[in-house]
Amino acid sequence: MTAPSAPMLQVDDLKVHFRTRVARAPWKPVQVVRAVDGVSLMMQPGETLGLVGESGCGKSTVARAVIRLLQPTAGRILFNGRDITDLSQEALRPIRPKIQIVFQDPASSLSPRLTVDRIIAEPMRLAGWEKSRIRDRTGELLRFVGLDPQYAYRYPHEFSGGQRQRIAIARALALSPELVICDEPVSALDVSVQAQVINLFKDIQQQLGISYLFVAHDLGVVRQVSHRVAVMYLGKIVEEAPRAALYETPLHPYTQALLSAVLRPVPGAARNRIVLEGDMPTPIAPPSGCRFRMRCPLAAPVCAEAEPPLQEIAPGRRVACHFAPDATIARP
Amino acid sequence: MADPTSPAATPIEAAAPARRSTGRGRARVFVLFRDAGTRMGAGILLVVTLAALLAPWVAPYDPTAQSIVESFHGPSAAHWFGTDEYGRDLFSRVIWGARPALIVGVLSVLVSMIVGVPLGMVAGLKGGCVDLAVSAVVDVMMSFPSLLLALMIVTLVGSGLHTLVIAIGIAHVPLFIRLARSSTMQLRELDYVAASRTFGGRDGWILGQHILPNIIGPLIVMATLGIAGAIRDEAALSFLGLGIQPPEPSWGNIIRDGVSAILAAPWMALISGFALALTVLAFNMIGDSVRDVLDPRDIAAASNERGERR
Repeated sequence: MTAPSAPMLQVDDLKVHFRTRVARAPWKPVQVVRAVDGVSLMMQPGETLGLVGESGCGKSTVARAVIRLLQPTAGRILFNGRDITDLSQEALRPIRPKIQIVFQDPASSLSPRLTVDRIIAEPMRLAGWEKSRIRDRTGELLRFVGLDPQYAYRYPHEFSGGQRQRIAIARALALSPELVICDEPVSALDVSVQAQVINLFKDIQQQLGISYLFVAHDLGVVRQVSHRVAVMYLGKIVEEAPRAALYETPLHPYTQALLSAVLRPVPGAARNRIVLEGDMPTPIAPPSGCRFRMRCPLAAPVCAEAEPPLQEIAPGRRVACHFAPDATIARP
Repeated sequence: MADPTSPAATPIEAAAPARRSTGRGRARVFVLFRDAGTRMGAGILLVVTLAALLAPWVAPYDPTAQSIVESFHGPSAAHWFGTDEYGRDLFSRVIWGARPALIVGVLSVLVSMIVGVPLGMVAGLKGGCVDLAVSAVVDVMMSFPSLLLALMIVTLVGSGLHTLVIAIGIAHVPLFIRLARSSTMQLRELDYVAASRTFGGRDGWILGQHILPNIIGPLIVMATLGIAGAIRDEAALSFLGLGIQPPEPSWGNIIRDGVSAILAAPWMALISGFALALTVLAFNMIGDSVRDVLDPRDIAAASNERGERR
């Protein structure tokens, strides 16, 4: 959607590995969980990139690494052209206000001991703002996210889930960020409230022109907010495409299976659901070759031998499958 | 970047008006006193505190004034609790004995908290080598009973009120380190701590703004129970002759005098022992009910409450 300009966020071959020991067995070798194993992303200003995948695929880990709550094991993260991968927490402080995050569960992302005005004030206090300026800005932010500023002196537990998420959004916007990472921001909410919060995200983007890295497992939600969508499986991106293209003609077998599982709004419409066998393999010992081959209906010997690279097969479309773009699973 | 001035075109979620907020702190205190045990504990504590504060005016005699002719008199109208070997009035001595008990109890717990809480919080937040080092010291200290630890310090430094406070305080430090550390470790994984980092919050800010306010409840419980333990330790050390030195009265050294004269004047050990036991019990009862009220599962109930406690 955006004209190709300098990318705001560029992630090159990001890897986040966790070293774990087997509980109560220190003599056993350290296990390496490859939560994120080579992810590359590019984001333009004002754009929303949806990152989808089932739970455990590493999408939240990507989000937390981009905002440097996790230290990447390898790869590079460039924000506005500046490499922030290895900046110390101290060196990162001036950049922090430009990248903010909205977490999944506002019950745990808002301190139960603080009133709403103090919660929203925290980033501004850390930025050294004056009290009167903070007070003005807090009221402005509350109105902006659709909350009555007279509620500012209440505690988070006095609000509904949707209202709490609005508080979290207001706090993330306090310092005028350029990129907001949304880590499953609506999955903890009731379906009726989800739509309102999604609309709020879209309104905010329209008015402020900020970018979202929108992490979710719900394809319907991602479809509503995203300009482009990347699908993750077991620590890697398997397909990336503009929204319309991805939802209309998914190229990767995994994407096809995922999309076939989405409920159609038309009652009685043919579902033709592709049911995948088994579970996602453990990221401790990913399968050889293509990571999806164990569950892929189209798997062939070549899939076990070579890992399919994520290659661009059309402008803005990247797929990691040996058979792309002709890998179409026959519907039952 | 544009400044958000115009309200977003989303429906204002006014349908669910936020619940009326009650004064949380005050409500919590009332909940506390609904429990009979707390009222009893608080009553005992009030009497003991008043006795300690007003000792010079309440005590009928000078607690150190000897009167050999009145040695080992039983309880009477003139001497409510009787007298000891030197004819000193036991009632006055027990009243004055409340002073070292409370002073050592409260101050030594303050010492433990001032030393232990920051260490525990830093160890819990930083993890890694810092945590390993702090935990190793704690483990070594925990392998000694706290009384033995206090005893070693007193033996090294000498007896007296100041050393008692410091010795007992240091002996109880590991308890506070452990509690602060484990509570911090639970909290540091929470999203609001992560969020604070994304605003540029440093460790000190996170500890002060987010960790400490959330662990203060368990710390208060531990402190209350710790005072009971410290009073017991003070009495034990004084009993052993390493604490408050005679002729200054302390419940511990009165009990020792009473034990050596248990056949001639059994009331001595009994009465001062009773005072000690009651005071320790009072702190324990209050500590228990504070814990019940501050129990995390109850916090929501207590703060939302409009009258009934479940």
